Amino acid sequence: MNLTKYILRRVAFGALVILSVMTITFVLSHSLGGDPVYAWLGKAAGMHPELAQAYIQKYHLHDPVYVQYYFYLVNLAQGNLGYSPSRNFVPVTEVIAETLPYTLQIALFAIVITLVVGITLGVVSARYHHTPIDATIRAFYLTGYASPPFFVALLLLIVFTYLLGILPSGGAFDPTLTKPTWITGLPIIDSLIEGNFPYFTSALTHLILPSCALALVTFGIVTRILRSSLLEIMHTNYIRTARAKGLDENTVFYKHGLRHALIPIVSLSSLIVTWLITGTIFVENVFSYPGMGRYVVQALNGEDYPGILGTAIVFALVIVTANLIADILYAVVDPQVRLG
Amino acid sequence: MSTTSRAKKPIVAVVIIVLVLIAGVWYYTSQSTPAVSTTTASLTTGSSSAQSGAPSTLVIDDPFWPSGDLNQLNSIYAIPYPDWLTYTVYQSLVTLDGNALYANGDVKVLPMLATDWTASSDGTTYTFDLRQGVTFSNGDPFNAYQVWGQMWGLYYLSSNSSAFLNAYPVFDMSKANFGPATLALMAQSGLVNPSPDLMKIMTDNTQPIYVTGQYQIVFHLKAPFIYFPSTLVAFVGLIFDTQYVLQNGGFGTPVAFNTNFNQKPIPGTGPYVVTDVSENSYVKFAKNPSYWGDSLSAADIQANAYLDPGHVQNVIVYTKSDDVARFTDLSTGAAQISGIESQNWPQVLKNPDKYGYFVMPDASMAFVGISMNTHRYPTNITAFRQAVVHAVNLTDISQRVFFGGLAPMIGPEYPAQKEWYDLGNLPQYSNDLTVAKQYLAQSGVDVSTLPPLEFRVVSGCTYCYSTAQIVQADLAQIGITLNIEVTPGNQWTLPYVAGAGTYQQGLNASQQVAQFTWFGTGTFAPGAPTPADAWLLFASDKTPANNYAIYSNPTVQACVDAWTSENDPGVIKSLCTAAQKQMYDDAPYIWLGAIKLVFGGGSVAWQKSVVKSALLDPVFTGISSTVIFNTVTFVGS
Repeated sequence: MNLTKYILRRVAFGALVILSVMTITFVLSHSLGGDPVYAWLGKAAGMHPELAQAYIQKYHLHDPVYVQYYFYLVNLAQGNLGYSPSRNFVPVTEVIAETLPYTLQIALFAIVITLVVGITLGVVSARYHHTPIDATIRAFYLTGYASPPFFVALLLLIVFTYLLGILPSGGAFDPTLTKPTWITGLPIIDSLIEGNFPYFTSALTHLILPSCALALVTFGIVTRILRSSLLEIMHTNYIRTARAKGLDENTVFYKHGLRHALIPIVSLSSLIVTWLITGTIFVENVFSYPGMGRYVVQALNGEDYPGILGTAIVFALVIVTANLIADILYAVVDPQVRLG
Repeated sequence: MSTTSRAKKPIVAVVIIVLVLIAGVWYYTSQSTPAVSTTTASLTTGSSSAQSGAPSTLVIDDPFWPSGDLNQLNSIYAIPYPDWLTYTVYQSLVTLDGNALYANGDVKVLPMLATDWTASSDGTTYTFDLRQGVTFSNGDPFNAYQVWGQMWGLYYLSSNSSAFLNAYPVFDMSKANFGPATLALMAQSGLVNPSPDLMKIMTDNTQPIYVTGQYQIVFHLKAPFIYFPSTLVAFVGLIFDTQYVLQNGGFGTPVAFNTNFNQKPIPGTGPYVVTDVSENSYVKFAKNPSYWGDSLSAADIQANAYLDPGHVQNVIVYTKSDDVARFTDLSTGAAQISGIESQNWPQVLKNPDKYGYFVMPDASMAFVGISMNTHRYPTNITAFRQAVVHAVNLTDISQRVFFGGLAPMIGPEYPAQKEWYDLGNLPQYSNDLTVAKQYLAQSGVDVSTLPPLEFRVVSGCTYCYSTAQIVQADLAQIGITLNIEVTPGNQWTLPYVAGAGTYQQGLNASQQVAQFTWFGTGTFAPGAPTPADAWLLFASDKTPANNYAIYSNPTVQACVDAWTSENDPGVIKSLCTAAQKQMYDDAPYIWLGAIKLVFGGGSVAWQKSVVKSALLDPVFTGISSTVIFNTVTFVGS
């Protein structure tokens, strides 16, 4: 099939995935138990029963789940994700607009670190396979891969903040600095664009630990896949031909071998995005980073249905989009994929 | 090289790395745990040899972001919590003597935005004279019209509840006539120079709250309540610029408060103003250049510490949910004051030269306890409850969970209410298994056939769970089996937990409510520092919340009702002495004790080289989980 048809199919499938995520999350979040009006209003629900009743009516809290879902879809069609009780009934869209840029900052930096570190170590590991260097790299990535992100985050906090005192313990930037004006929506990029270097430096130092915590548990899979891919490719006929032509080993390895070995990394990138996005939930809470991951925990604790659903939709959208881009790139690189 | 030996190398390397990590973590955490120093005063003297003077910016780490954000319209819900703006941005008509409160637990009411007040001879009418020449930080004048507008506006937001004033149902609102029309008139007229139409409404003395002039406001109660002024100390009593509210979207409606003030708080009269807010991250404050208290003398401030203009130009309060992060900030100096919980509390205790920390007086109003469901078998049997209170080892709990930081307490009255505490001088329940077994036999409960009883604690409260385990072991000695149910925060409500609703709601759900429930979601502190508070909340069948034991008794109810109907303290005392004895005999609650540490298993700690002293809020952390930072004084300054 041609590329356009392939893309359209993928987009349709993505929309279906998002709808499924939304439905499942809706049903599960409404099965949390307890009366949400008490979670939302706290003691006020008992102190003012008429107020509780007003909230129950306004938000259909005691209606059957399918009725509540209907009203949710009606609002969603109008672009209304509801109001977030855990954020004092501010529109969910506003909360997401406020928190998503911070999460994207962490995720983007973590992706860069993951790919740079993962690819570099994968190349080195394959180049010096079956040597102590290879063994050390494998031990390193296995340890990171096997560690939960919050554990790595705490370790980094203890080492770099408590023991060495060289990086901050949390937050997104030094609040004594002037914030950048909104240009791209990502504060660290905006500060760079407008030349606000003190803010940029501060935002960068605050990003290092959370991003590294995520990258350290994710780079391993890149290293492993790339190593295996390289080792396999280096035994193929066209590599043998390249050597036979008299090319030096470095040219054979890097110019002929690595280029093809990177193809699986393209499809892996969508998985990396998924892991990184979901990992932000742990890391943002350890480092008190004001992103969506922190908001998710707050929403869950507060039985904040609109918040839970809004963040689930956004996460699903980001992950589906990443998968879609990866699929498209893969289809561009390898036309054989489209024929399936 | 063989395949087996090749595989061994990474495995060996992984094992070495893991062992190194474990050793590092063990080194970091392995410390002996000294007990809380009972001689550590709440006002700690810093070391004289270190850096002197205030920092340019005081940094405070708090575990919590304010629930309710910074929107003071939420005060009818007893939020924001923690309310960092208490006495720093907002002040009340009256306050308490913070020095006396935290030195000895003495409750003394002092003027704040009111200069004085009088009560009528029948105890139902309180007239407050307000301080003149005070402005809010945006220049709007503070006057009686503003206070009137705030009170009625909050009454409206509470859906016209007669208990809008911090859950005290002291007003007869049956003839109240306040709603959207009056709010519209207020917005049109303004509160600086009200129109004649608005003045007519504001001066209507048939209403429970009215003004008699620009600087005099009257509260008329439906029945005498001698402690009425104390209900104005916090929450709804914190005065904000109502004129500003009217000019910026108004109060909103009971189901949709105006959210404009979530991150742009309403101006107050206090010594600080909010300059920047990053949701769920930090709030920045700077000194209010027009603070009326700047001209107060040192003697004035010593007499009334909450009026202090503050000793540092800028303050940043961070929310950091991770205890390691907060302790790291404290140890590196990134924060001068930090809330440290039980996970890292041993690190604070083992460095007494470096860190000071807050220790509550024995006579405080913050406590921890366990309720027993008085309507569900077998805790509905008095003798069974007596068996339980005699089986639980409170000393053990204090030492093992609270670092020795629990002061004995006989509830329900708060120990700080010294005149009213433990009327009848009743002793602590003896920890005596023989006596416990005797009561058990008397109850007629056959423990050999009794299924496990439920004990609910809220998820995330480590010391709650640790205490529950000790109680579980204690009761096992008399044959009672407990199942500890760690309950998510969003389920810490009806029908699982009785204290989240009214007494009647709790009663309706009594067969689902656990036999044992942790009192609250951690430590408990009052909403208002009155001796009536505990009785109204824990022992009343008319309570809007906090009667976790679903307890009611006519003798006790007579005491409860007397607080808001009887003008003679002698009569109240007599009724409450009988009520105290009744509750002691009925034992609906296990009073674990008054907490010495702010968070139960941890406290607010500071760098001794920088911070000399500080006060907490006037309700023993009932409104804020950190220091009132305008009261922070610094070493060398």
